[in-house]
Order: sequence, then C-alpha cells, then structure tokens
Amino acid sequence: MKSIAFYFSAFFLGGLVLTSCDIIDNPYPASTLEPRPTLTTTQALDSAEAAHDSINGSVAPVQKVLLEDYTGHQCGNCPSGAVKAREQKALYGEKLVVMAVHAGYFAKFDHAPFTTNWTTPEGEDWNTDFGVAAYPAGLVNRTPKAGSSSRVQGIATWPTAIATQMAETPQVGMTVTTLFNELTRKLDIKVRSKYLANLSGKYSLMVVITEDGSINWQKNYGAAAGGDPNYATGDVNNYVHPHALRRVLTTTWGKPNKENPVADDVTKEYLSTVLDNSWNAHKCSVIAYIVDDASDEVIQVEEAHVGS
Amino acid sequence: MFQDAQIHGNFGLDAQYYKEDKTIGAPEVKEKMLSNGFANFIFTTGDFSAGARYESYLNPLQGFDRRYKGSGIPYRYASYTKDNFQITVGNYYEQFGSGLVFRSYEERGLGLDNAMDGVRVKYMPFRGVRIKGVIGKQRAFFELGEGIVRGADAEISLNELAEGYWKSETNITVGGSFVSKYQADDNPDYVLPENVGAGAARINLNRGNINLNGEYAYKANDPSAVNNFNYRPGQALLVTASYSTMGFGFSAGAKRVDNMDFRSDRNATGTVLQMNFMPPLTKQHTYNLPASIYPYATQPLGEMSYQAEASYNFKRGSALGGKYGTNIAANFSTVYSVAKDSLHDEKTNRLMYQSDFFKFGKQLYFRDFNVEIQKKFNSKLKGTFTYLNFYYNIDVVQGLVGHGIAKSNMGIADVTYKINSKNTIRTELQTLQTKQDQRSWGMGLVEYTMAPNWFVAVMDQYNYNNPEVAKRQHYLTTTVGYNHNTSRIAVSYGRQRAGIVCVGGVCRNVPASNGLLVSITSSF
Repeated sequence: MKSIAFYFSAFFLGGLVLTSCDIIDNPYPASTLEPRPTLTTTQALDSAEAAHDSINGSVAPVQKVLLEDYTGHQCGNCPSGAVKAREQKALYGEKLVVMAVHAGYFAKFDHAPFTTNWTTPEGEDWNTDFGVAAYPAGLVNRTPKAGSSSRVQGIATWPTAIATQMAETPQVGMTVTTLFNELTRKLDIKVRSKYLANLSGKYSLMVVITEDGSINWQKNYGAAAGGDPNYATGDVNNYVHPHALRRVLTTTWGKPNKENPVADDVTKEYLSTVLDNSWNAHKCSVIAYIVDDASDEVIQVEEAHVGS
Repeated sequence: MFQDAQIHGNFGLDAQYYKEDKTIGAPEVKEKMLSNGFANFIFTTGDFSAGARYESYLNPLQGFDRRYKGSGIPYRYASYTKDNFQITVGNYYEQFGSGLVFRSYEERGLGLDNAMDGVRVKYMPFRGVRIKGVIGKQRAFFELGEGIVRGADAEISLNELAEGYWKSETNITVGGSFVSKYQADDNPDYVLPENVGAGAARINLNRGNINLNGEYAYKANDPSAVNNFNYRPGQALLVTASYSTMGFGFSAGAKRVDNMDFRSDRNATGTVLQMNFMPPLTKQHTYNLPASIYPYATQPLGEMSYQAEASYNFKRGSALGGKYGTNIAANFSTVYSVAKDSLHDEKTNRLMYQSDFFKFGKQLYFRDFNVEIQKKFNSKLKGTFTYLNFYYNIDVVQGLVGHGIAKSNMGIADVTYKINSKNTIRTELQTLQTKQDQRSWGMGLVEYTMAPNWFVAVMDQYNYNNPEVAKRQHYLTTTVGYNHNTSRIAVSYGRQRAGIVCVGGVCRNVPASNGLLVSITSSF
C-alpha cells in the first residue's frame, strides 16, 4: 500500500513539474534582425495603467475643478492671481487643477528682459474667445460667473466659484497615465474617461502640457498693488512661474470624445509628444479635461505628473 | 435508497434603493434600485453530495463589478467519497497550504469568486498522507477564464505516519504543492510562457505551547498586464510563530512577497481570476474607523512585512485584574517595499530588477501599532478600549497618485450595558485624528438589542475636520433588524461613505451612496 501511494503521488507531482512550466530566456521573438521591439506604446500604457489598478476597478471618481489663470509676465498685478491660486490649491489639494495661461497684451515677449515666449496659439484663442480683458483673470471650469453670462472672473470670486464646482456630482471619472523616455524626451499619454451618467450632446477631450516652477522674469507691483509680497517690487528675475501652459496636444476646442454618452461608456485616447529641451520634464504635468461642447463648460479634469 | 438524504442551503439578498446625494458625491443610479442575491442548495445522501448556487445581480449593487450583471447558476457540483478517495466534478473551492500558490475562494462582500470548474481528486492512501489534485478553469463573473489551471498538493503528518511518533510531544507536518496554468500565447511582440508553474513547500512544527509555521513559494516567469510583462520569477516567504500559556499569548510573523501576482489570465486585473492569495500580516481591524478609512491592501507585486502581537490576562483579584479580570493585547505590524536594483533590461531579458531577498526597501507602505484593553466592570457593564497609531501610504495601498501619506491616531471605546437578560445596550465612540488626507473623523454608535428577536442601531460618521467645509458631512445610518431562528432581516437607511472595503488584504472600492438597504439572510 505504501508503495502505491508513493508512486501515485510521485507520478502526479513529477508529471506536473516536468510538463507544466515553460522557462523563457529570451522574451522577444528571435526571427527579427531589427532591434528588439518593446511593448507597443499602447500596450505599455495599458500595462502601466493596469499596474496602478491594484484594487478592484478604478477608484471612485471625485469631482475635480479646473482653474485657468490668465496671466502675463509683463503684468505687475498678475502675481496676485498666482498667490490666490496657490491658496486655493493648498485648500483643495489635487482636486483643484491649476493652469496658468499666458496670453494677451501682457504676455508679449518683444523687449528685454521679457523675451521668453510663454504663449500658445490655443491660449491666445481662448483669451480672445472668452473675452479676457483685465488681468489676472480666471475661468473656473469655464462656467459663467454667478449672475452673469461672462465666464471671466476676477480673483475675488474664484473661491466661491471653485467651491460651487467642487460640490457637483462627477459625471466622468478620468485616469491619465504617462510614460516618459528620458533619452528621447518622448512623452506617451493615455487618457481613459468613464462616463458615470447618461448625458446628452457632444463631449470633447482636451489634453495639455503644463510646466511648474520655471524661474524667469516677471513684473511684480508688490503686495499693495496686486503683486506677490514674497518678491521684490519691479522686474523680478527669479520669479517662479507656476503651472504654465506649455502646449496643447488637442486642438483649441478639443478632440471629439463621445456623443450622447450613457453610464459606463469608456473612451480611451492615446497621445504622444516630445517635450521641449528647455522644459524641466520632471516639473511637467499632463492635464486632461472633458468639455461639454454645447456649453463649453468643463465637466471633469484630471492631472498626472510626467513619469508618475 | 435515499433514506438518509438531506437538503441544506442558505439564501441571501441585499437590495438597495439609491437616491442622488451631491453633498457626499453619491451619483444618480438610473435603475433606482439594485440588488445582489443568491441561494445555495446542497443535497447529501451517504457519501454523495451535490449542490448548486443561483446568483442574481439585477443590476449589481454600487461598488460591485458591473460584469456581474444578470442571473444564472455559476456554481454547481457533484461529489462522492469512497475508500479514502473523494472525487468532485463541477465547481469547487480549494487551497494549498496558506494559499501562496493556489487558493480558489469566494468572498461575497468583495464580489470576488474565483471558483474552479473542473475536477478535483482527494486521496488519503494511508493515515498521515493527504494528496489533492485539481484541474479546471476559474470563474470570471458568469463565464470562465481563458487559462487552464492544474495543480497537486501533498501533505504528510510525520506523527501520524510513523507509529513510533504517535505519542511524541513534537508534531511535524510537511507539505508541498505545485500549480501550473496554461494560456495560449497570442502576443506578436513577446515570446510568452504558455505554461507557467509555481511550487511551494511548507512545514508546521508544534511542541507544547509553541507553534511554528513556514511556507516558501516560487513562481516561474509569468509576464502579465499587472506586472508590466516582467519575466522575473516570483517568490514569497511566510513565517509565523506563536506561544501561548495560561493567560499569556505571543505571536510573531514575517513575510516577503516579490512579483507574486498569479492569475489564470495574464491580461486580467483587479481581483479577477487570481489563482493565489497572500495572507495578510497586519491586524484585520473590525472597528469602523480603522477598518474603513485606512485598511491595508496586500501588494502582491512586492512587500516586506512583519508583525508581533502579545496579549496578557490579568487574573481576577489582582491589582489590575479587579474583580472580573482584565485583558490587554498589543499589536505591531509594518510593511515596506521590496528593495530593487534596476537592471535596465526592458529591451532584452525583461527581468527588470534584482532584489536582495532579506533586504527591506526604503518606502514604508503601512505601519500599525495598537493596544486593546478588555475590562468587565461588574455583572452588567463591560468595555473594550483601543488605541491605534497608523502610518498609511495612500498612493501605494490604494493605487492613487498625489495623495501621499496619512499619519493618524485613533481611540475607540466600546461599552456594553446589560439591562437584564433580554435587553442590552451597546455604544461605540471612535475618533480618528490626522492632519493629512480628509483630516479627522468621529464616529458614534448606539445599538439596542432585545433578545432574541429585535435589534436597532444608529450610527454616525462625521468628517468634522475636513479642510473642505462642504465635505464636513455626517454619514448617519439607522438599522432595524429582526432575527427568527436561522433567518434575519435588516433594514438600513442612511449614507455610505466612499472608500474601500477590504477582507484579508484584498480590497474593492465602494462609491458613496444614500438610500434604503434591505438585507435578508436565511439558512435551512
């Protein structure tokens, strides 16, 4: 009896061990003489996204809010906008996404020391279309100011507008995944958007790159006149520019994302860009947001730091 | 023929009516009402048994995977035992050792069910030797996963095996298991292993008051979506020791897990089609705030952890024991990352990194120190008082970005007053203090039980210190329940906070909700 048991188990276990495990020394097909391929970009992004998904499904979405701070390096009042945005960011953390759009007269880069071009064609379009006339000015989820048809708000009304938008129920959950190649500076991006409710109309996706913490010239009028008290008054050469819009990867008004979405609809968008050599890649972020085409309002926004 | 035949079973239904609640982020539910229900029926006669489980998700409750949508009989089986030989066909749950290479189980609260569908053989050739063999596919919602799972496990109790050791004070049990999965390679970019094997060896040593347990597992190259197509073999080691004597108990354990996410489909994520289970080495809290705000989720891709726990019972009549005795338990656990040195071989071997087996990584994932005192004051009044200190890496544990670390202190008082033999009132007061994340919480509970049938409870969670004033919400819930023999019906109305629910270190997300929940359970 003992020998039967021994042979039974040895045969069963031994058979499994010998037949049921393939050891791969070379993960890549040998037939190709070309450089071995890595994952395709989309596969790599899918994998990176899946690795974050360590618990069941994506995380319960929360409503996030986009604050666009229209500014310019020759605008001496504008640092007060950055100060207000910083205060609000401290309050809401990652739920508030800030984007500084350098546009308009004060963003000109035609004379020393203001020779850095912070502008983008899309930022200029927004500046014109939304009718930004005085700086600093902001758009909060691109929603109209309370009691007005204008979306442009002075810094005094930002806190109320942000609080109002934060209380909205999220209609979309977004995930932004990035892969950055330090050598080539190529940045691959995946934006996954999951609609949480049945919506009517058309919705577009905007994806932009921002850079935080770049040190450059800024005119600063001082605290009393709407400047930043942490800096000297006048033309400051060591101003830390926060969250500056650097590039728009979609068109000015976004890429069509979904029409009449129903709950649980998921869209996936893959994008690539090469970061400019003058930008500090580790201070760059990808901001993605969904816009209701009918109202131009932002219904959800997500931010991911490059390489995270 | 069926003179001894019996039918047993149980039934459960959770049905919830939802209403939108913007203040807590509870979304509108277009169906208004959702439900999860099931019923098990088990027939036994002599050495034969058969059973089936009907499940219905119309539609799945919020927080459960939408792929469960629908109804059906995903679990059915037949089994008979003859001459130390048991054969099961159809669905079954099974575990080898502590589960490091194979565990097929159901955790209804998580929406997790990776039941096998195939054949299982158990054989005890003679006393002290137990052999199991399994083959099948795993359940994925109302379908089966793509991969085929094969495995065998043998366990030998040396004391039972050798007559001379029957009366030995030292009991030794050794075991070994091997599991393999097959999934076709349909990926043009990689040469993928179609058969992936994993093996484990374990030992249990028991002498008097001392118990020692150890299991080591090794998994061959298993590139998958979750591990970013990493070809590095996986390893896990789990060692636990315990000692107990009159009034005193002590236990300690250590664990290393490296690249041990193991699934029967290499493209699956979340909790879908997991083949193994990493036992948690952190205390599984049951009180509301520590269990629901910062629960630890095991990291199968890599973690190093250890835990120690001691409890002491101060005798009746002693200075600290008082008239009825006092029990004190202290527990400490900590989880770090695995130390990794990158190999930069993404374009060649894809082994990704090297790692010193016994070296801790620099990143602290979780730390928990807690002390619990249980005290009976008199024949009517008793209480449990707990202090907890947590370090919780939100980004790692919950797979988020930018949330950082939450360090918190918690205090819990659980007091029960027995009014008379039928009426009992129990209260819980809890506080969680932190300067990070959503800041501090408070929780209160009053529960009144009228034995043997009725109970009523009111519970409130309050995020009173949230930096966003609009988020300083009360999560008030009222529950009324009725028990009758083996059946119970409970009706709850109130708010559910968004968060994660974990069982044994495996977690799922729960969105915020507001509404009426009816729960019915019954068994026969």
